[in-house]
Amino acid sequence: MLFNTFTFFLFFITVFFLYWFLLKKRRVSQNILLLIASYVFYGWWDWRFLSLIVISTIVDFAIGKLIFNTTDKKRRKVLLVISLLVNLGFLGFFKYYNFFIENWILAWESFGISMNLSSLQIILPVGISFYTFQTLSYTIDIYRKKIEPTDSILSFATFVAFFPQLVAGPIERAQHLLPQFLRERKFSYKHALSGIHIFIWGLFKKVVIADTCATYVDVIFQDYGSMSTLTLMLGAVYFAFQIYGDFSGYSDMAIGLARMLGFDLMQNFKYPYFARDIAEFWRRWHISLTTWFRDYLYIPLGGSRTTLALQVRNVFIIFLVSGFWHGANWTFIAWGFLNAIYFLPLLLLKRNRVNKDNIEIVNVGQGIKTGFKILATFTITCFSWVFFRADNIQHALDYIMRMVSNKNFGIQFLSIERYNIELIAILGVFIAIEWFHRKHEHPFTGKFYLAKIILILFLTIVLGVFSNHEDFIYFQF
Amino acid sequence: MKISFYCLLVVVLLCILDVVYTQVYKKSNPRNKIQRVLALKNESFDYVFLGNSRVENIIVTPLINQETDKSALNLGIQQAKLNDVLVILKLLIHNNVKMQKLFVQIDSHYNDLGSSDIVKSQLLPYIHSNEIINSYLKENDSEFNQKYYIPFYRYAVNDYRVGFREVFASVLSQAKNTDFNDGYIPFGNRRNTAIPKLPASVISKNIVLDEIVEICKSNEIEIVLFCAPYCPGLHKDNYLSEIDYEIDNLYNFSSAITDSSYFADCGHLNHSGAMKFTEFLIDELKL
Repeated sequence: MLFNTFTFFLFFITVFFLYWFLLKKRRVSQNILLLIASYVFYGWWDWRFLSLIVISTIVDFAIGKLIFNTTDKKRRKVLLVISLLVNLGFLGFFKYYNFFIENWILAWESFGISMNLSSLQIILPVGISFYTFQTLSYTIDIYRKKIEPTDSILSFATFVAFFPQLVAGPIERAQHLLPQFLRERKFSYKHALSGIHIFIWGLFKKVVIADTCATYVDVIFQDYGSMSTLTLMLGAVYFAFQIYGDFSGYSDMAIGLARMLGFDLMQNFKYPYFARDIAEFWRRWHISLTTWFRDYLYIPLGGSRTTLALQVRNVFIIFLVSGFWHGANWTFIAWGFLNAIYFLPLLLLKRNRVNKDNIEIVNVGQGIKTGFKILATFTITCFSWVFFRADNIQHALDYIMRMVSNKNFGIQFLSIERYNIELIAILGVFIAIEWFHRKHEHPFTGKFYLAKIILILFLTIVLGVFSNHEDFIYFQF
Repeated sequence: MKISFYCLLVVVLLCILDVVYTQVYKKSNPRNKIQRVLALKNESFDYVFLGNSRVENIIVTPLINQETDKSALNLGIQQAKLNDVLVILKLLIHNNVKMQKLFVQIDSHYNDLGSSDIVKSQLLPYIHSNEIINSYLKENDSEFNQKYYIPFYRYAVNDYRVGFREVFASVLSQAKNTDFNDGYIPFGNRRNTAIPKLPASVISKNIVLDEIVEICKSNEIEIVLFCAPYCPGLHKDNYLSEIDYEIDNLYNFSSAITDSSYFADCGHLNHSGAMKFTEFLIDELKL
């Protein structure tokens, strides 16, 4: 069930009215409704994989309690390892089994030894990487004595399976989200309205920006051999906006839906394409994952409070793991590696925490300088997105080689019966809207907010892609 | 208050856009064959060809006009199935379009009782105004109720074919590359050598074809059923010989073109192939 479908609309309207009108002020009943709704939402894809969520929930609920009730350090550690093994075991098997088998066979074949292992037809459960990380944070935080376990398995199960953010985040922490299931929720008109606003903006990003870009990206990446330099460059730029519109649009819709139900989710994107360097980009892109890796991997490895050599090692580990988290393909690892390379100069020059403030333009000179930095960061980001989008490393390299070698800057008419440059205008408007509202969650603020809502709703209806609903890219991760 | 306002606003926008789009499609010049069919009124043709792209891309109607001095119209539509042929025939008859001979292409889609998404999309603007289209969509579209009752839904979920771009082009009266006057569209320069897989056997009866034949009979239209050429790789396919036995009076031209250079892909002739086959058809059927 996708957020941008009529089925989901009916589903959410039903849940919303039952939740606020029938079960008003009945917290436990509301949680039961949310849990059932979340399982229905997930089971809509494939009900069989609900069992994985249920097992993860039961295991982490029980282990969380056992860790808390044990003072023996060794026993606590063993319990944590069990939780890690169960959760990462599921993730490893469903997401990475075939990747490891295939590469194992290839590695031996390169020595002339043929192996007889066969890969399995494994379906990847939707959103497994997201809910696994969310539930893992619970046990790790209990182990670190940062939080206490909950006594309510209902609240915990709802926290793990909460449908707005179940399949593509934001990856919430128990510390932030779980208490919200334990307290009574009152309907706030203002809160619900702000949820609707952010949902509308997310929907616009998904169906107008991302899905329109997808139409072009698919044909450009598929037939890259016949594309001009200009088309290939635009293909990379369009993909940058596709993935941004898709993922940040989903996050906004998730935040908006949760807010309509009285919950606050963390902000997952903060206008990443306005970042002035790659370090700032990563503080603005997929914030819930970046901070997860920071807290549960980077800092335990020593973070930045260690020798420079170890810092470099840690940066590479973080980016490579982050790349691998996105998918069992060398393209994602290459994408992570490239980002580590981009980050390295900033680390070595100790300039990775320079651009932390909001972007303020005070004069023309500084404006040009900032603009150049933003453009440079965006350019290298687009370059790395080619690896993210390509089917394999060879495809990515070929794409880039053609981009730099065929020197044809002509406007091209694509097989989808559209010119390659047609999207530039709409992306220009989108960038302008984001730029002028970069200090806010969404553009529906200020004097003309009503006019902006009407305009965005109009554009969403008229320009939105509602046919052959494009799956959200991040569902596969 | 504001939430109700937003809901009302969305509903109003959907209603207004629905009306605007529908009017644009009703009043603009034809940009697809369904619009062309609906625009035809009280006209007469000697020959009308119905089928899918294996008609659209291979029957060179201008050549027939030129060589026989008879009027011919190619109404082949990509992916059309017999259900779509039936609805087009009904629309033609309803619009009092006279034809002496109706040529209906029969091949692998004889086994398919479904309908084409392309035809369905192009018919959607007329769901409320045309009874024939309404009942066709009711029978063939699983989302009929949503498309009929929810304003603009039909345009939103078919945005690729009848969405903003198409409306915009219609408003500007942008001409399509296709000449809808005769309906022939050459296949283009693509070349694909893959051989498609035909069904293992032919179904014993197709009630849609029976209805087409019945309608032709009651309207005194001579119907000609024919199978268009396939590439040599399929000439010995069991399905194509079986279809001869199952369908009476079928002109099986599946092996009529033996030189593979005339094919753009196994099911479609290129322009030279289309010219050659149309010449063949003129001679063979004495048009």
